[in-house]
Amino acid sequence: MRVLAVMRRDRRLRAGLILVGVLVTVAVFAPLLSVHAPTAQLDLLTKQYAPPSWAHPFGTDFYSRDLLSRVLYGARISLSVAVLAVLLSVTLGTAIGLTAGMAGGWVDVVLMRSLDAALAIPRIFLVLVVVALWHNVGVTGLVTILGLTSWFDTSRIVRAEVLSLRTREFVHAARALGLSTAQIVRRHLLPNVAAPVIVAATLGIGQMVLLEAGLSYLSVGVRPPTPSWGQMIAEGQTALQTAPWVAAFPGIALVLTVLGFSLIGDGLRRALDPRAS
Amino acid sequence: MIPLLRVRDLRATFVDDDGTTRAVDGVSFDLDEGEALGIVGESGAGKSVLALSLLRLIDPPGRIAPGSLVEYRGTDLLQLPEPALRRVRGAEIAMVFQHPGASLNPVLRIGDQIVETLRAHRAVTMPDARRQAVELLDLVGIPEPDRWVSAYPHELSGGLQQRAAIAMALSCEPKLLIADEPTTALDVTVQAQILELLLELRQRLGTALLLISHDLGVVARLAERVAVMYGGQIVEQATAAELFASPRHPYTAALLAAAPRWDRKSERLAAIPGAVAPATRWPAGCRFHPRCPHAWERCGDSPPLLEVGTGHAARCWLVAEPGSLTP
Repeated sequence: MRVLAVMRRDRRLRAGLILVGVLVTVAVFAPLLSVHAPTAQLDLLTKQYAPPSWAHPFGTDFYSRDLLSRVLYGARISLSVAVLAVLLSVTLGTAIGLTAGMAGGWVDVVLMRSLDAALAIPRIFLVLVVVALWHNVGVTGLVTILGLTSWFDTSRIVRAEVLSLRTREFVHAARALGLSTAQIVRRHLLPNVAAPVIVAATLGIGQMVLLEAGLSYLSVGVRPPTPSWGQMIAEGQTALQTAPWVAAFPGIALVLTVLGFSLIGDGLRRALDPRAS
Repeated sequence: MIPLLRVRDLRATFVDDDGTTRAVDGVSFDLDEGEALGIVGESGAGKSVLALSLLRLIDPPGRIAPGSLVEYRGTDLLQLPEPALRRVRGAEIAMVFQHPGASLNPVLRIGDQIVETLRAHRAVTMPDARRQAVELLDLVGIPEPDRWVSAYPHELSGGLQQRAAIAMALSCEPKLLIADEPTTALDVTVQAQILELLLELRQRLGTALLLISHDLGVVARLAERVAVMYGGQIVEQATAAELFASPRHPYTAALLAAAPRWDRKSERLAAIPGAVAPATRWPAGCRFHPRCPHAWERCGDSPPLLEVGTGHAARCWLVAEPGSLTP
């Protein structure tokens, strides 16, 4: 209840929620909101690099495609890839963190040291290597790869929480009352690690959108003609001086998305952390 | 008649870089059905480790030494496989801890925690379990139980939290309740209320009680028999009345002299000189002798528990000396 009260008073959190709310609405209703199909090449002779106008508010690109429609559809791809990848990574990270924290001993050592090793490789390179080894990555493949390479932080957070929780008296009390380890994990540990995990996941979505855009920019992410913001920025780069709108609009959309999720994540952190208020 | 709980030569040790800590070092006692046994001693005497060891709740690096015996109704709990032991914990033997706030999960409603214990041991439907939770809160004297059942622990006062913890412990009608310093963290007036409650519940439910406390007053109020612990061992045991009237171990006598009493005005309280030795390095012989005003040459050997009278024994050589004075 205190959490809700804090959340209501938090203006930055509210701004983030509105931002993300708009983005999600746009992504869901993209087919209704866009006048043109995102991949339709309208008129290669007269509408190549058309500047923003009433007919095309965001202008058109090299292939005379309507940029507004592409940005709207791009939101679908970017958000769904990011959300699904974060869901995968949070599930994995929580499971692995719980295992390491509860098992302790050599299980913990092996898991945490291999994690350190994985963290030593910059994530973008890690993802690039995996993508390069995998021919023709579809959206499902992309989600899988992103999810599988980003659970490290979550598992660390969960493990640290579990290590401190399992020495708490209520966990002893639960054991003294005859609950099994599985019951203790489900009923006593998971609800207590939920808050930091939710915060990490929200911030993670913003990061994931960026990572996906980065991969698409390097043309190893979402393949054309499916619109993705990163890929659109890459396409617009060649015409940055003559038609800056081609890269600018997807770029703005990207910035707003990351900003929105960061605002929510930080807001949730403030609301869920009793020490913050 | 076999006792409800028979503990023989219980030893619990913790091994770390500093050596082996013998926290509980050869404790034996019996507890009958419905009986209340108090265990008193200073901090570091091994009381809490003893309580946890009975249900095998000490975590590594702590371990219970082979050869220890904790028999509940004829079954050795130390040999029981984990699933069978889980059916004893909570259902047969339940525990109440020192910090009521910390022993309740902060993110679960009071009622849900009781329901969870009930459903861990019994095949009850959700609505039945909820109804029982309300009844239990009523039993432990929580006003408006149907309101508090859906409250979170932090919304309750310390006294109500401890009542809720007791309700949780009693939910499956255990035969034995282990209470580890159940009133220590509470205000004096609330302490009295919780003691009153434990007393009343024992009469009503016939639950045996193992009460662990550093507070002689608390033990005197609730327990019929008392065991005094020092240095991981029981140094004296007797009925409560006899122990307080005629203590035979110098440590018990010193503890009694150190307790504040309303009928001894304006004196300085007697303090026991020195401090408890670290449990990694017990002194040879009697563990209390470096602090004992009556120490003599024999104290270099370890005294056994020596019978003083029926049901009264003390771990002190003075007891065996014919004509020796009571300390």
